[in-house]
Amino acid sequence: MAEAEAAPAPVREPVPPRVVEYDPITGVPAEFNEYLPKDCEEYKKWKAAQEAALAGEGVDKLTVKEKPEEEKKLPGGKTKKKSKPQVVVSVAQRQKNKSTTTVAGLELFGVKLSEAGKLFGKKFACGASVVKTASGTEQIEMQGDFLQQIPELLLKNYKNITKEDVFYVDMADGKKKKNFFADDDDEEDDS
Amino acid sequence: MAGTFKKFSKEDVSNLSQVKSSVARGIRAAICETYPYLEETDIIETLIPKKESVYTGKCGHVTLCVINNTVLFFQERDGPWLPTLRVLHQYPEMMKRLRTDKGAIKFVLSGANIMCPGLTHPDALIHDEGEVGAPVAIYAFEKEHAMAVGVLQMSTADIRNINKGIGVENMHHLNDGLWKMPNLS
Repeated sequence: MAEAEAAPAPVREPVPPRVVEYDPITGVPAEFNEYLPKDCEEYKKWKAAQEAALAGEGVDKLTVKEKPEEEKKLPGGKTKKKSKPQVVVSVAQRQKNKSTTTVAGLELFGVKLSEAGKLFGKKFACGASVVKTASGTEQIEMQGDFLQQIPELLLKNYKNITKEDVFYVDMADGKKKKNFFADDDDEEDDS
Repeated sequence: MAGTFKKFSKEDVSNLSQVKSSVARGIRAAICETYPYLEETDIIETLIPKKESVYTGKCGHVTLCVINNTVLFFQERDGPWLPTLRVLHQYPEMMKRLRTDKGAIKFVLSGANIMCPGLTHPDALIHDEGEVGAPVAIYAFEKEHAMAVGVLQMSTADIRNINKGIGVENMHHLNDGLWKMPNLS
């Protein structure tokens, strides 16, 4: 087959790939951190880390995700609170005998809220919309009480959400409890 | 189109399937032709080993070349195969380089095309010459790593002389959809 190896010019010195370090927070080479679009997640996280560093706190604590820690140690600003990536489902009362179910924290799992909202509305034949909270994050609000059904749907549709990540607010205690097997299995709704 | 990978996630990739070896050879050959450096240094063998199965996926008008569940190259319609930035960072010498001034960085990282003045600015530098259609790596003044991959819309000579309009189409940049999703599962 000729000429594959013995060609005149090509020098076959093995060139190793360069190893490039990407910033642990933003994922891009650190030299570009400050130039990222201000409305993107990575920039916000990086910015928050900067501010906290200035405020004299350990940057380790702020390393996002997977660390059930910190809630509001940051001096305000553009962040997403860095708290444990949880999905919190809560139910509130409304006029007459109606209630609303709120699902918060989905965006931390990379879920597009508008799509999720639409999905919920479709699945449960209810009104669902994305609303902003005081802190600036967004939640999905649904018309009706879907406390039991939401977790199941979340697990089913979103592979990166696991049982441990879903919490709900118990009416009696007003505390957050884990949404365990027990809860879901016992209340299997056909929805 | 600029902003090719603005919204891009695993769900957007359709038909991720293995291609038969003739097609794989075709892709390999096309890539070698576009990037002789890869062939000369045999890097192509490391990137696309003969023994590995090559998969392609489609996302709109873009075809992805996937090996070992990693996206290595992509192609818009029938354009040239372009490397993902992660590949380019590993082998920076594979492509022609253009360097913009600092002011252009934030626009480029938001998906904007590279306009001529960004390349004729005193801080900018056209490292290598090229003709229309040539794939180029976009760097920025005082930055070490490439920030985008694009295709020349004007020859580098025209960029200098005319100095107006879009010089390079921004096909893929840091932190875009493709950057954030190098692996498909």
